[in-house]
Amino acid sequence: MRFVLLLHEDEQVWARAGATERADHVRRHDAFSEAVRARGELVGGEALSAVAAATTVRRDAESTTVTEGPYAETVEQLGGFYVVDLPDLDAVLEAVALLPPYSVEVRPVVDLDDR
Amino acid sequence: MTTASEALSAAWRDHWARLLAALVGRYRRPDLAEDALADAYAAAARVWPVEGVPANPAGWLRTAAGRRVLDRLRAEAVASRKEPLMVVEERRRPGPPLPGDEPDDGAHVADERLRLVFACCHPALSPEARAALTLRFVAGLGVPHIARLFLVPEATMAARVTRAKKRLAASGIPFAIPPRGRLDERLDMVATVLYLAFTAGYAPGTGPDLVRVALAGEAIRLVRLLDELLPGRPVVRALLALVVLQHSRRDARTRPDGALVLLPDQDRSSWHEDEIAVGLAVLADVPDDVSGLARDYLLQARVAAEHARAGDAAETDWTAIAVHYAALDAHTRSPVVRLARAVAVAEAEGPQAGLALLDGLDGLLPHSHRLPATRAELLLRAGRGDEALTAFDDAIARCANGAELTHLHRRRLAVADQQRTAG
Repeated sequence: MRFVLLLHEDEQVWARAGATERADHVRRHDAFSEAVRARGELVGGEALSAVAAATTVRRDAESTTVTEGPYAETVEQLGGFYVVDLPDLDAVLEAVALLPPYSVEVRPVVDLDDR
Repeated sequence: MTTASEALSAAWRDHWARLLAALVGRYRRPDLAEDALADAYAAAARVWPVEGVPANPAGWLRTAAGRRVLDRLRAEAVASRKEPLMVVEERRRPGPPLPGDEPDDGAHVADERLRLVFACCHPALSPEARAALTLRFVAGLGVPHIARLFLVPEATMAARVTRAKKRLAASGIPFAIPPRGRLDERLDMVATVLYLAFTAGYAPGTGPDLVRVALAGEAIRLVRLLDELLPGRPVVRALLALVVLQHSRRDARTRPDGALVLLPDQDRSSWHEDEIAVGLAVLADVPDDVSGLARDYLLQARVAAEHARAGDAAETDWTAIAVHYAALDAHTRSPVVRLARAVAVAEAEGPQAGLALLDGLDGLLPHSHRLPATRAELLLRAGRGDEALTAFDDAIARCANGAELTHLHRRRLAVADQQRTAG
């Protein structure tokens, strides 16, 4: 079963992190990847640049509006994502426990094959 | 009672949990499995009285339910082809399972029903969803009954059960028993739903039978099994004391015609003394300083123990009970607890003090008939008979339980007569 993991955190945490903390983050992401590969597949994933670089496009039937900034202004922002293929939610939760302390939204991918 | 209906209730008691577990294991779709099995039992209720009870009832039910699951899976496959095609890359089939992927066979939890309870109590489900699923899956209770237990309208509960079943399937939540070392993580959730199941058996809000001794007894059996599986857990010990003490009064709670008998009027010689002794002994060993859910059950068990100790109604130590309820009220902030506390305080200090505690509850318990019924009794004792009649009318309008409704009508009639005589 495929899941998208949306990783949210306060951007300031990363901005303020020193070299040791950053190295620790990288180690945790490696541990996560390893755990996922042990039981399934790491389909993909990216770290996102800060929301200051974001552009939001809103469309309706008539018009297109482009604004500077993220879709929603919140303290914790979407900072990265993974796509994983794992047997079930418990396997996902165990792997996520290895990541740095983010708020992670786990969303199963709509899979027309399995319906 | 006919042979067919005896066979049906035996089949429910002996096979429901095992059949459900088998269907879930086979098709990995707990939502479909539960619907299909309920349908199969409904079909049995129609077919068996006419065509006779099959030689192997469990096999008959399994075949009927399996066929229904397959029908649903086929229908879903057809429906999904009609949906607008989305760009989804060809999905690779998963390879052979790795060692860590082998589903836990759950052999460390031997009882089928207890295994279902643990499976329903996944932390990724909301507390309401866990409880609703357990009552549906493990006890086989209908939606109206569950709705009454949660004090919500039927439509709300129907939507909640449907959503919970969809979420199980859609969110990838494994319907499985956690490994032995992680059972404790679900202990509070399991204790909560077992107590709800017990309550469901003890005083259902709907339907003709006030006491469903079988369901309450089954819930107690599961609490005992839980106590053996995970010994010495305060939350389980306190819950065990509570349910054993409450259940010891089962034979005194209803008259032969099914009418409710309130605590003061109960024939205490029909309370089960041996069970009271067991409950009090278990309660005595629960530490005083427990917190969380264990504290909740401990305080409720202490209330039950005060009633159990009183040789007759007049001997009841209402002051002690009011103290336990005050602690419980502070601990839970639950309107249902406040209601019970008001009754105890009225006994200890008089009806005015009880009525004062009911202020502000109407908005929190908009569907409960017990709030106006309690208010009616307290108003009556405060000498405010006209207001009591109005409160009885409110209670009657909200009450859906046959036995309790009869009781309310009887009380209202008696009070109305009294008022006329006095006036």
